[in-house]
Amino acid sequence: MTAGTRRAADFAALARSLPTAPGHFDEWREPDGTLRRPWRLFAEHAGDLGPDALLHAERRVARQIAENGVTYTVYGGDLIGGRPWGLDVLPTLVEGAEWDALSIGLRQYGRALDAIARDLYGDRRLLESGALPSDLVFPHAGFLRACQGVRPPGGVFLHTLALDLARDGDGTWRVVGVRAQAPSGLGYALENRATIARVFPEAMRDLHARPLMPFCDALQEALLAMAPCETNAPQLVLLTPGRFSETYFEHVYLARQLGVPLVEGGDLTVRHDRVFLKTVSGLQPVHAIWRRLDDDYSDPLELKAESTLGVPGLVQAWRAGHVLVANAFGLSVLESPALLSVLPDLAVRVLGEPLTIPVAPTIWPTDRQAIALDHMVIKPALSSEPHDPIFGHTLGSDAQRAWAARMSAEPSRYVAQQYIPLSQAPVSHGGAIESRGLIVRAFLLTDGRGDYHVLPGGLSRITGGDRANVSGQRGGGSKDTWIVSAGPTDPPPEPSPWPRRQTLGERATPSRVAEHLFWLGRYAERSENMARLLRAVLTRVADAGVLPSRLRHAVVRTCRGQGLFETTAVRAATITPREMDEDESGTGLERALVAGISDHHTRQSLGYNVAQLDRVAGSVRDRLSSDNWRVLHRLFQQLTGDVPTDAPIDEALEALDQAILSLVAIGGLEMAHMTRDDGWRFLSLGRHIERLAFVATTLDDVSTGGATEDPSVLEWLLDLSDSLITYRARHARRPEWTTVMDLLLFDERNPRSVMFQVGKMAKHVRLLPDANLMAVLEEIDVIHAAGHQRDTRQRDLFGGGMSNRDQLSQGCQRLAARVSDALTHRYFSHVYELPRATVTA
Amino acid sequence: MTTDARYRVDHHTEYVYAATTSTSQHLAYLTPRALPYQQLLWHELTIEPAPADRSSRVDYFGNAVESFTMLTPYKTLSAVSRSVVSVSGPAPLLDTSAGPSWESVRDQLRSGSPVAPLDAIEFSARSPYVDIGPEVEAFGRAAFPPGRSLLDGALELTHRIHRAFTFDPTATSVATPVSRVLAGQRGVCQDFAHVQLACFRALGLSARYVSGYLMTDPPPGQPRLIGADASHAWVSVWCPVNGWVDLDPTNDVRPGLRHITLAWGRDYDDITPLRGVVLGGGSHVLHVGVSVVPEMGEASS
Repeated sequence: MTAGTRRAADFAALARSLPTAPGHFDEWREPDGTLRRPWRLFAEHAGDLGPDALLHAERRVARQIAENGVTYTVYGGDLIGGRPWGLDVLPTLVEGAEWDALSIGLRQYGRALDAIARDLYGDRRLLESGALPSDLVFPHAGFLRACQGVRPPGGVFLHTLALDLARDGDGTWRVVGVRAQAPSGLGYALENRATIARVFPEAMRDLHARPLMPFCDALQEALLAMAPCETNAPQLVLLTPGRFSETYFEHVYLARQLGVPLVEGGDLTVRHDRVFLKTVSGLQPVHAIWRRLDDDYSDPLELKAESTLGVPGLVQAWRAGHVLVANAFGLSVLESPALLSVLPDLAVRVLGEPLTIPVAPTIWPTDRQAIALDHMVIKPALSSEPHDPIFGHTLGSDAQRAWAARMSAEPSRYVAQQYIPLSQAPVSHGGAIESRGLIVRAFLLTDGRGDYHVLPGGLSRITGGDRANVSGQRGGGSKDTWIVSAGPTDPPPEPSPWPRRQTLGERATPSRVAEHLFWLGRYAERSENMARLLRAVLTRVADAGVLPSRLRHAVVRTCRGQGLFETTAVRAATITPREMDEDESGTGLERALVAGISDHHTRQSLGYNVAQLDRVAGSVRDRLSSDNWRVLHRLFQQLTGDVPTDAPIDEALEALDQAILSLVAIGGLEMAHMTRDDGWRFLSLGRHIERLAFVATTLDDVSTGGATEDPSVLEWLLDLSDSLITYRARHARRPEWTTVMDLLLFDERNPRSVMFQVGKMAKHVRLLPDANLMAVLEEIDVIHAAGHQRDTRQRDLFGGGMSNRDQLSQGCQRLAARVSDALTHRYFSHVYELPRATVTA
Repeated sequence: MTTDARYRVDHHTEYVYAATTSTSQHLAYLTPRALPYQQLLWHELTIEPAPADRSSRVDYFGNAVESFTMLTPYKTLSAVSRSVVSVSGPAPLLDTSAGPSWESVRDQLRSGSPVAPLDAIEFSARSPYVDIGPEVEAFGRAAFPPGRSLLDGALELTHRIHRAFTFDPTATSVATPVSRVLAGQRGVCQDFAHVQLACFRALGLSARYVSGYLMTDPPPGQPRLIGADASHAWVSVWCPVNGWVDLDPTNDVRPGLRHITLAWGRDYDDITPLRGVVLGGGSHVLHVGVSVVPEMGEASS
């Protein structure tokens, strides 16, 4: 007996020992308790499935989800960034042959729904004949009259479609829900696959689980092929509502997987009925939009005036045929539960053949027959008037009577859908196997020729506990979905029939993205400066107990200048800066600095800057490598969670060491992995501006504070800029002011020096697109030239009473602010203008 | 055709912004419709400053809609719509009292019995600005006792709204829901039209919102003041015998030679005279002036 077969036998024994749920189809066991075929195969190849191994796998999955920042934002919660995505370690297993048969039926739905949409917004034969009841159309807020008569580019309305599938008690798959507007879940399905593939790599290989990515590539090819574009290089963008969207994670994920710019409404503008992307190098035409924005929020001019998320004029540009929008507008009418009551008949009319996958039996309107509510779920007829489903068997007899009365009084308002006892799938919960209800969301992607590819997999969703609800908004969890076979007999994804159209070579950088990257650079650098400042001070406090008075004076001056004391935490601890000065024991200073480390609600502390860093990074996640994002997000989680305000100093120093390591890694990843495009240039400028300001300011603090003769102050100053080792290697003696100035101010080979930053800024600003920044460039060059003159240190460079060095460092502080202002004015000033609607009586 | 009336309509709209706008896009429903009883003889929409781009199309309901885009920054935007129309007034009603009962019309409009034309069915459905609650249903039902003819009930409802509500431009805004108008019993023509639409639709009847102008007479002995008029709104109810029958609840009249029709839709939101989306500009002040002046000369050609 091999280890594999022994483990499989253990799993089979476990399966037999666990209870079953009568009336529900069992996903993993035959009625006699033996494993169903795909699960037998899985058990043979999955390795150890004992409680310890499963628990270990659960933890790995949870860790990976947290690190990747996979979230699903829940409305009404105060969790910014959303709740972690729930993913079970055990996949849903469907045999290849069964799935192939199912796919044929799913494609019928795709073709039928696309044809219904085409008719509804075209000839309206189905509506005229009454086959499509007008009560499903006219009162539906999603029936968009602005779309009547539109012929979308390529002739396709429904580019992507999600169908929710559930199994009946006898195992028959039924369609229980349609998502046709901007279906979500594809990105989560891909991420689930990426995660679970690392948990069961052997099983995935041996069971020949079909790959998902080729189908996303095929969708992209189809969209590009249909996009109206005179040249052979159409621009496709993914339009997201932004980081507060419940499914923002997957927008980022899909954009990154497909290499498509992720844009928000404000990034696009319509001119002469054409759509353009606002980039730092001007307006660039957009030919296709894969939108994850609901209709209501897509165009404040024509669709919903209150929305500020959309693109004014987008509907008109689409109507004019100048842009492909996937999916077409106006398709939420296809999502109504009541449509299922007429869909089988409509399908016969438009396809000439019956659907092979049945719908969940649905009664609508609700006054034509007696309805036994015990076996029914009451849902809204129209998807535009959503409410929670009501399970008839959970109602008391009075409530049942009340519902029956409502349903006969307003028969077109509700549907009675037959209760589908969800099939029960095994899930691992703390290492133990439990059963949960299962719904599989299947994804159909247009092939651009009137038919659909079915993603060989899908998003499995499971009920939480014994609840019948799988909505992501209400808890529950998800599973990866494998289409498996005993041998490698599966058809490879069909090659695309389209002549390949290339996307634009250079990735466009939207102005909003450039601004976020600029601030990403600034916050990253500022965080590192803060962390180094805190470490340089706290190390000395830890070593010496009480700081010598001159050093202490310099430290307090600089910390105050950097705003480290201006925190509510300090006030809460009733330590004012004044008290701190007078606190001879030194604990006031130490406590105030420690308190600021994790505090991310007040200005200027390290925690605050790291929180801002995490926030802006979250808005441009598609631009960062996943490693970069993970390091950054983990830094945020650790720093803002781990250091209590009363932490002992050694603990605080440990946290600072970790933070500096992460920040250094982030900087390294930027240098090693980011393409040197406009976005990177803005990020770098943000860093140089911040570093310039910090080094120049700290030099100035020491100089004007009169501490230039104190070696301990100078050592600390070098430490702040990570230049102490360099200094010692060069000079092998205690620091002196002149040589410190050489290293920190003038030495252009020292990447921490003032002149290094100025030199880089001069270079980057020249390379910015359409720069037109002559004034500020001149200022940079003046300072740069001043730093290069050999006699700078002697001659009176700027006039006036101050030393040249002091003037230079003050000039640099002003320069940092000037360059930042100039960039903001030139590139970012219209980023935050929100459209406002006006109407007249 | 000797009873035709001919009017010149000037409709000025001006936005004055506190700061300079960067771009804006607009839709205008300011072109009078051509109808069996209304001829559009001339129309021109003048925009200042000149837009970067303008076009026109016919919308879902058959209304002419003009759109324009401003790409050059401005502080003041002026849109002047000038039209000359000739109005002969709708045909007289047939069978007011002997016509179909309101219940029979309601039953024709019900889904599953496609006797009524689709556009009549469409206007019996809910729409965004016409919220229907039990109060408005009760208000409407009072005018429609069982068995009453549709048109008798509709005229009665028009009369009841006119009697119950006070014209008060300060009481409501563009977005005041029907329930609030009903509770306060005050508002402007647009509110009264919405209330009447809600009553009709609550009973399963079909009615649409009509925007337009009304020729008013100056006070005796005084000259006609330019800009003293306003845009107007009323409703049209669907009758299987008479077709669409216009009713003006603000004045308790059937629109005739003094009403000029611009556009119709489910409610105000479908045919807002001028709407826009503006980037920048800060706060703004809006000036609207309408003049409806009878024209001398040949009424029809």
